Amino acid sequence: MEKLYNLARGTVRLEISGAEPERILNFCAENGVEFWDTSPKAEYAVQITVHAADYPLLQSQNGKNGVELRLIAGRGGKNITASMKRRLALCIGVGVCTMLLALSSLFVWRIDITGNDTVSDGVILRALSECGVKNGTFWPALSSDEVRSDMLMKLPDIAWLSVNVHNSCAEIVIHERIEKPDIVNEAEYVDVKAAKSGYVTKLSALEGKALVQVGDTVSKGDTLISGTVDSETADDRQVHAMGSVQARTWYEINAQTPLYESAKTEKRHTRTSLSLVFGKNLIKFTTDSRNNSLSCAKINKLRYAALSGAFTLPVGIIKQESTEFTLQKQRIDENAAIERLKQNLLTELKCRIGDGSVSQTSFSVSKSDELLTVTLRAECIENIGVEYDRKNDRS
Amino acid sequence: MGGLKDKAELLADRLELPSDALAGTVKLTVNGRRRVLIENHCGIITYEDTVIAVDCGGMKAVIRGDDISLGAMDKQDMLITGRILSIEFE
Repeated sequence: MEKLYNLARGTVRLEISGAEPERILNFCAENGVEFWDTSPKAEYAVQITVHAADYPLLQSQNGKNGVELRLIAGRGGKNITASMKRRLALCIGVGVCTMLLALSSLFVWRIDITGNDTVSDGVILRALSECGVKNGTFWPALSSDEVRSDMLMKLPDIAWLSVNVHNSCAEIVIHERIEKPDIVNEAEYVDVKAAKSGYVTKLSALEGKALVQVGDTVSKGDTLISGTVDSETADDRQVHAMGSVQARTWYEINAQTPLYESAKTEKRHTRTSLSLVFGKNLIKFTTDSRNNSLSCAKINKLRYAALSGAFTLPVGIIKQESTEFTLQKQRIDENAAIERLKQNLLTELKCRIGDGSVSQTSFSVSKSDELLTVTLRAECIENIGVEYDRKNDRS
Repeated sequence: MGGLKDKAELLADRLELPSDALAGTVKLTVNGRRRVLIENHCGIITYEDTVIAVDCGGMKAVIRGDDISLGAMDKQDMLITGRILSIEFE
């Protein structure tokens, strides 16, 4: 900062020579002339740096008491002004660019969306566009509160959002709505039925009448706990049956994979092409029709002209790297494929039994001409009772 | 003047007052081996790479060292930086 200040004020480097160059240093100290970077040179000579404004005062001492002053170099101050006069067009260009940058920073040129999982970026961008937030929007005229209210009305899956605009970049932070848990309506008359076939090992009826006992074998759809309860004083009473029925269940799940796969062999040569993005327009510098075939991998990297934290411009460059490849059919690594399928089957089994536990598992592998099949046989213990509304029977 | 200054210094000693406040005598502050601050100086007499002589009123302070230079200087204070080897009063 001090250097910048000195550059703006302008500095001169002087060489003081003579019998007693210290006289000039004392003169500076006496008259409040600031000097720095002092360095004695040879005999009877000292170099100092002073502000350009103090130079005339020091020059008045030139030749007095056998001391001579010589100007070595000048920096900043009037020198800058003089050099700017020589490069007028450049200065005007820099000034216009700075003004355009300052103006462009008042418009939204980039929209970043974070925090969304279920609602896609496209849906949010469309809703934002309908609310008046899109590329080229004059952001000082935007009201974050209004945009938020409109967005919440348009997208019910969003619980809350914030709109922050920093240097032409609109940052949209989304907080999605958390789904409400199922609420048990005890006024509804329901039965507990078997979701799967199994051998009952434990029964716990909290409400309703148990129709099965431990040791019974049940089929899928059998009523386990009935919502119709006997009454000694009146007709049968209807309740909301509740309870859990633990049962041993058995699963047989298959997973298959082809024995041959297409392996990609990339060619060494990679083609790079550049395109210019200006707002919503794309300007291609090269037409690359040869690489439009399916056997070509393309990676696009988009880079906007921006200075992080300062400004973002609606101009960017897309660098596209295209690499051609050929596909070759080859036999897969069977052991690795079997292990992968086993893991997939166990994951699928865990999804199916939910909170239940796996008691026993066994795998078998079979091969045909083209397919590798892995079969999982498992015995599990799980809750097979699910609430079943009687209205479904009537309909 | 030197005699008057000596007497003022003597009086300050007797009254147990800081002599630089009463008599305006020179005050040297040495920070390690690399910085010497001289207050109430009367100007610079010699300025070279290895020696800087400072007028301290009735005496002369000679600071010797390697690559010593004048860091800053105004009417009252002076800062000398570099590798200080010795400070002598003449």
